[in-house]
Amino acid sequence: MSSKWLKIIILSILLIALTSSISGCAYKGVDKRSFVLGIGVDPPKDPGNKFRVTLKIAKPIPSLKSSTENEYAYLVHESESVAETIRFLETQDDKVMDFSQTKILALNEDLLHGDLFSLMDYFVRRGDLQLVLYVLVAKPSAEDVLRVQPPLESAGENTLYNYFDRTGTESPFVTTTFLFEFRRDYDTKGQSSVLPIVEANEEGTQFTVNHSIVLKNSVEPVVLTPTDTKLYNSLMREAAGYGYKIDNDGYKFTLAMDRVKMKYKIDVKNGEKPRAIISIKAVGVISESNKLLKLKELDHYSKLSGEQFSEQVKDLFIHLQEKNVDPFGFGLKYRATRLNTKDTLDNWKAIYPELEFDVKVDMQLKSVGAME
Amino acid sequence: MTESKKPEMPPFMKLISEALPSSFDVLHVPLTLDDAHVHLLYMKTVVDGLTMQQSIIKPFYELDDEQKYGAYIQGLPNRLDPPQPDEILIMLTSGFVLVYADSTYSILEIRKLGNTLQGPTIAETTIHGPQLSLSEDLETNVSIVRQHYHQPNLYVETQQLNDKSNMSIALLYDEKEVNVDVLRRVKEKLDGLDEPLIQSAGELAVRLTSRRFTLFPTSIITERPDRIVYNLTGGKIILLVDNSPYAIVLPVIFFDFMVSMEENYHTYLISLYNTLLGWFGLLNCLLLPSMYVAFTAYSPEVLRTELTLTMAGSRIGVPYPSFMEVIIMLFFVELLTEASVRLPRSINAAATTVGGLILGTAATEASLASNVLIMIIAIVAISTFVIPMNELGFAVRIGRLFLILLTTLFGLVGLISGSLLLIIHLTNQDSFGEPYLRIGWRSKRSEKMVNSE
Repeated sequence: MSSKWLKIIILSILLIALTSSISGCAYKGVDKRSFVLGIGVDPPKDPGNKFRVTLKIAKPIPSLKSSTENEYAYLVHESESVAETIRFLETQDDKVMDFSQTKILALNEDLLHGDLFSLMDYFVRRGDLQLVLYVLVAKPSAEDVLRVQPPLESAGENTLYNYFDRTGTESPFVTTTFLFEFRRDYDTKGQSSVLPIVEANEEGTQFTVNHSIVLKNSVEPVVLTPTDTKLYNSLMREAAGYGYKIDNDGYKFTLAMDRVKMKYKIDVKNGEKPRAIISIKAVGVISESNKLLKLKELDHYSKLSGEQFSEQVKDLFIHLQEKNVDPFGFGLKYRATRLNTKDTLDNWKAIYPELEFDVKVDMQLKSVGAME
Repeated sequence: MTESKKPEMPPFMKLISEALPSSFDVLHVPLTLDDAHVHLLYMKTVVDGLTMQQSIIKPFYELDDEQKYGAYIQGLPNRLDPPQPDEILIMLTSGFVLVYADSTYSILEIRKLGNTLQGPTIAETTIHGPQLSLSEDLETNVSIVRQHYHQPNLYVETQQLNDKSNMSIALLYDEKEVNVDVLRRVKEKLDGLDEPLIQSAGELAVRLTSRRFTLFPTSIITERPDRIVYNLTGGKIILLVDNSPYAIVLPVIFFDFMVSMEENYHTYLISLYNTLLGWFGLLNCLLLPSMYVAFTAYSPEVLRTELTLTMAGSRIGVPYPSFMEVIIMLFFVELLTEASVRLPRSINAAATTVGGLILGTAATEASLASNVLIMIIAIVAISTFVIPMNELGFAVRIGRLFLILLTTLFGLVGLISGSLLLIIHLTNQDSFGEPYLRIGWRSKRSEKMVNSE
């Protein structure tokens, strides 16, 4: 046997022997990791610290059939920064903390005033935290929201994920915002980010997700009512099944929307007031009415609904304009469609408070929802 | 040797007969009637006695004249002029008869045919398509191919190996289709064979490849006449070996191994589906064990949370790291597969049941392997059998161990680079000059040489 073969054989024996001693490096068995499913950030109870961080850690499920409900462990600590807190919490866990499955980042409402970049920095920078995790605003506190154990939650399931990943509920009241989206919109000039507000009840058994909050650096947060949240979701996120009340000309309808699509452009002409021309196409059916409806009159009902719908939309736009936030991205659109000079942004800041909204709704009702 | 030499043996025949060993089956038969003398020299055990009686011995007594008999022998279709003495010796051992009549030597082929029975297909079974495989006799096999393929361009070249077995082999090819370079290379290889003993088609196929340590086979070994004909039309060379029910198909590319003959007997969509299943099986069986190692030990973030947690849960109490678990369970399955090949068919099922079902359940009960892994191993074991050609299956079984090793060391990156290395290895290989990963962009129709109208 030549020495070349001898070398190869010795090398392969060495390699195999080395593999059996693997324990450091990146090799870490799945049973030696503890998976963090959610991170909650609250203001500290002790004023000397800056943050109070809660980690929700899942226990592995040995058998789905025999376990009836999920079991979680919660680790809480307060300190100067998020990174420091998590480093401390790692000493309370015998296994390696794995953030790769973390999908929930709950932020306490009280933390949202002022600059959020220092808070976000750790989550965006850390490599194993995925940027597609869901960011939400927690009420009354992030810890309470993470500790909620809904009776409907079965083993191997996570209720909060179901809300946001659209595999479960597809309610138009729920806004889904990923971490990358949140940061991008927060940072982009001419756009504001929107986060869902998750409320836990006092018993810790239930969530309510129907508010949302508009955030922008240096501006006070604006809380949207459920109706506004719904409107925002159907216009920007194309949420379906959107129920909308009409009260016009003696008719009282509730519409179920199949499709809502919004297009807009910013029209700035010299000597005239700047205008945003918004055209909305909405397709749906009438699902409830106070009067007997005729199929022949469908166009009339569409017109009635369209008028009222455009008013509602306009009210929302004006409300947001007054608060100086821009979740619909009018400013971004303006910046994107104008020649970029160093004045573009300043121009927009001057234009936005005076912007007039010109809303046209093309409402297409497909049926009155019942046979004549 | 045992015969008395009353009518003295002609000198040349005497020379030959002395070179032959003194074995009980070497016969020298002198036929004498009046003045006519004829000598026969043959080996009893390889000559078909009945044919000899009918075509050689009986006419002698009927014709009653040495000259006429000589002419009769000259006219026989299986007659050859005697070649060199050492060649005659080999021919005698393979069923030829040396005849001395009318002062001329003739050599007649009166071979006792081997096992001419066509057995049912075992290694590659199909539901539709021919159910009979090749026989174990060379001539019968050539005739089977001829009967499947009625073309005047089908060339059959016979040859004998230079080893101790002196086995006859036949080289079949379609003269119009064959790649001349490849044909030349194959012939060179056959002439240059330097092996003391070759006994079967498989062995010959191995000896024909120049590289010793290659993972992937460079020729297909098949028992199916329809596959032979399918490959003949594609311009391939078929090597038939005497005493072996298998034929060697040369040259082959990787994609030839993924063709099941069943695909030709179904409609397009069904056969496409079957092909995809085959490829899916191949990938499964190659990648799944390493993927398990990669996902459990390096990158659980790839999986959904629920699956990660159940996987972590099912590994509770398993004392070994996941790659040990995988290697141990794979080893069990390999044993099981090998055992079921070796065992007689009647106890085969029992072994599989005991091994597969009971061992699997017991392994999880005893916390030696996780539930998820047992499922993966089962899928892998089944997938191995979906690969149409057995030989590729063997290659994949070894290839996946290599992938597991790399994945254990480097995680998903190791798996990806390991797969890359496999592809590089395949690209680097060739089968008799034909690039191994060549993609034959030809439609099935043109491959079968059917004119499209």
